[in-house]
Amino acid sequence: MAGYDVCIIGGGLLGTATAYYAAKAGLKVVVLEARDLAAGASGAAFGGVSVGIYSYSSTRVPPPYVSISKASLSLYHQCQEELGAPLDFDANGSLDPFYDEQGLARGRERAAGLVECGVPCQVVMREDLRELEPALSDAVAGATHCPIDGHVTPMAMVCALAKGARSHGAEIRTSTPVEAILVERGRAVGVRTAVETISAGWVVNTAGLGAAGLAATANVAVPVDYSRGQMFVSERIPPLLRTYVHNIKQTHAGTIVFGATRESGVTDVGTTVAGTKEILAWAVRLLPALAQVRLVRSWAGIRPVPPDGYPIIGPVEGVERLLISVMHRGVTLAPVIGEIMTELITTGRTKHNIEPYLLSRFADAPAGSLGEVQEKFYVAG
Amino acid sequence: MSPAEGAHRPGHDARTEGVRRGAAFAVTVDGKEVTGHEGETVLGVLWAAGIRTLHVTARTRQPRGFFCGMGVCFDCLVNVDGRHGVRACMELARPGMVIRRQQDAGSFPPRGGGSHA
Amino acid sequence: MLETEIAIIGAGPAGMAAALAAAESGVAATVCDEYPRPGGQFFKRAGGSFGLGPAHLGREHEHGERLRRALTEDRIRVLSDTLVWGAFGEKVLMLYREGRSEALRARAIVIATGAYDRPVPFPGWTLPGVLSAGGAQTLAKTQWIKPGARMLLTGAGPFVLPVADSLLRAGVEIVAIVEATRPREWWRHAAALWGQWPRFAEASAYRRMLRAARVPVLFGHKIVRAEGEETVTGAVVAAVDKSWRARPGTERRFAVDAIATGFGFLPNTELPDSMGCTLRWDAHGQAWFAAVDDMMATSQAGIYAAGEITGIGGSVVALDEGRIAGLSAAEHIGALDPARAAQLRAPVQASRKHLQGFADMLNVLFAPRPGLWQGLIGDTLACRCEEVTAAEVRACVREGCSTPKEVKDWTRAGMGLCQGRICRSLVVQAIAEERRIAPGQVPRSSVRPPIKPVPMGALAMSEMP
Repeated sequence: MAGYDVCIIGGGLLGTATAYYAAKAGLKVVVLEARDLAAGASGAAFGGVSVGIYSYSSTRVPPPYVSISKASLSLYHQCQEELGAPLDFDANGSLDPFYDEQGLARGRERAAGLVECGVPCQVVMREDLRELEPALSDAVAGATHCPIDGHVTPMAMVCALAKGARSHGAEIRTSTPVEAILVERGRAVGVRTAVETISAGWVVNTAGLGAAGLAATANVAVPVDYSRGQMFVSERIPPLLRTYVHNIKQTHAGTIVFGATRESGVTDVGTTVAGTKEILAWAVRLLPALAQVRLVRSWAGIRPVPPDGYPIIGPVEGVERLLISVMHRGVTLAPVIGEIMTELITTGRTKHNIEPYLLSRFADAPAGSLGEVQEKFYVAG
Repeated sequence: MSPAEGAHRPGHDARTEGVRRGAAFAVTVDGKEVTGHEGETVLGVLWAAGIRTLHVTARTRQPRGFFCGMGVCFDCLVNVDGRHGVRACMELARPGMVIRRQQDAGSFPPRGGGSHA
Repeated sequence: MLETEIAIIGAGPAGMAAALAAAESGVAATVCDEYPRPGGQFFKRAGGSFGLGPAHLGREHEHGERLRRALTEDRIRVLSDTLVWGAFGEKVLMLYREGRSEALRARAIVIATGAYDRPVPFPGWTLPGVLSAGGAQTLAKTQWIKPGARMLLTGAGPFVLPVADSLLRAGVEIVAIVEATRPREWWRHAAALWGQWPRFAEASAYRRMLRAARVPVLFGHKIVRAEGEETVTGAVVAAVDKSWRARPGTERRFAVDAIATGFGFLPNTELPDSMGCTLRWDAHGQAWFAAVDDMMATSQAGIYAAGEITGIGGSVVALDEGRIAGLSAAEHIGALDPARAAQLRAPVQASRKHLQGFADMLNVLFAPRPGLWQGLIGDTLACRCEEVTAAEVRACVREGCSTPKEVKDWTRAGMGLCQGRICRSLVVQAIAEERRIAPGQVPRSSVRPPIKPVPMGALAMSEMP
């Protein structure tokens, strides 16, 4: 039979991770990316790889979420060894600062919940915090410290995953938009692009901003909200930060990367005065040494956010052989998503608990869609 | 003129003769006292004193002077009164300024993939 | 928040002319300029504390003084040492001045941000003492400090003449002026010289100056290498063919302590680009310029562009374009009725057309030729800020990167403090060569604020527009 075992739509973190793990498992894989690798949220993301930091949750991170995050973090270390290309990945721990009593209470809850899940996490107060991160301002009362967390350069990860996938025989095509997912008798059979029909045993929809629109072509409703994140980077400075402080990091080159705004419903990737002021004021308050450091560049990305903030992972009711994965924390979860997708394809099951993350939990939610995906949604700069 | 004559000699004042300048004052460059005049930039003061290396680059440790002279290229970086990375060509020299020539910040790990930052 | 009728960005010839035209039309204008005093590059001069006599001052000095005096009139507010770090929404400019980030709202905007010397790489080009022609001239002209005791000037086109003039007045010994073209190439364009008598007079005056100073001029040559350890000590030039490729076996070495390169200019189009104004590729200028009509209007309503950012034309064209832009901006906000505006513009438009004809001829004659980029190979740096070599850029393109953004993401070229101003044209040239396409076909990266680096503390306390 002509065609591929797996056709993956979307060349961001989730698509390239799936391609890597699937190709490594011996499957014949093609990735179809409408623009360039990491053109969407993956190219704009901050790059936190963490179990201990999760902005959208209530205080306690749900155990199933901790579980897949923890697994993914381990896979990052493996990827670092296996992929053979530099990821700019560091795992020096994370700090989630708080400023008052309320924050302290939340931090304690967070830490307790993580410890129960077998993840080391403790509350560190100001005096001890100074030893971990001397540059933090005195305004910070304390922080939850998760020593296994880290950060990565997302685009480096995408490129490394793509390279790894190709080395195992995967085909990756950029500038190849998919127009529709093809379904015959309740089963996904491939996709249609502008110039051809590609048949595949499985179709994996990891198209990020385009995921809901593409799902609709298969009559599958995927509720997704969109939220803009404005991001910023400074000039190179001498070592200032050792860990990933939520949400600031120092890259290997010495620049300080930080962000991001959370602008619900905004879908153009512009930088605004309000966003600049909000984020820079927060950063300078957190790290006073940044006041004299110069901002060199800004950019923005659009996050696809499922309505409850948690990922959508896995099979789709009513259409066999179609898998979907849409989320706004694709950086941390990318490797485990690749593993989950591959397990589902090769064995029909996955060792990870994805029950809470099935699309079917949104049976009654309205479908989200950006409508026609436009150039202005994509990362500029 | 033989090739060596007239060429830059460190310590030789590169100021044009016969031009009346503003009030003279002292600044220090890496701890040493150097003369500046009102109206001169930090670059002017350094260059006039025969100083050619304003900073050393991070990756390959190369000396840099100035290139565009108009605030575009960010080559002429020095540390002024504790502020790092100041463009010497844009900064007016002032009495008592403490100027330090600097080594650039940053490191350059091997690259293979992309980065926004 | 500051409010103004017409905001003018840049106080060079175009910006000053726009301000004066606005004021004449009864309109309040605010000029924002990065430098400590108006004049831009063409009218740059030493500050008031220098005592200068006629032997020091050049031909354009008086004109510059007249313009600066005119700017002091009531309706014009000049904000010097002021950076426009971004343009937002409905004609809101964010300024960085006196350590603070402030908003300026205008009803019309004239962008006159000028140009900077085209970077041309060759082995040794990052050595202290290797300068752009403009940079050498600035040090000599505004501070009367010699960029070098013995200098070599290398380039293409007449800009090297006023640079040589400034350097000689400052007491520099110029060992040679090295011009890439040969005089016999110029006569093809003789027709464009008709009626441009002031340009002849200028050129003759410069030639006399060079003869009097006994400066040797080498035609059909270019720099191939700068030599030296901590600082430049030698300039090696070679004869070139019609494509400016070095002819083997023709190298000559000059002992120098500074080299100035003058191969044209690149426009500062970041602001119009970020405001959504259409840019046009100019094949001779090998750069993207702001596209304007004959009223100096860009593709964005109420936004005008004038001077070198619309096309390299020198100060005389810039003065005309600034005036046209100022009148059009005044018309846009209703201060001048269209008939009157057209009447005032007509003679200036005619003058501009006449002068631009000459400038166009120069742009064609002295346009960069393929051999100019011979130095963009190997260990020679393409990105000076992030120290990315030409070889690294080319390798990245061969591995599949086809846009400057991808090259930046892979190599860091363009991520430094100059925000790609030095390396962008070089990366584009490398991509064009490796992929065998014209430089104008290489996709452009988007421009984001801050237009130049700004301290974060100031941005954190930004005034909200």
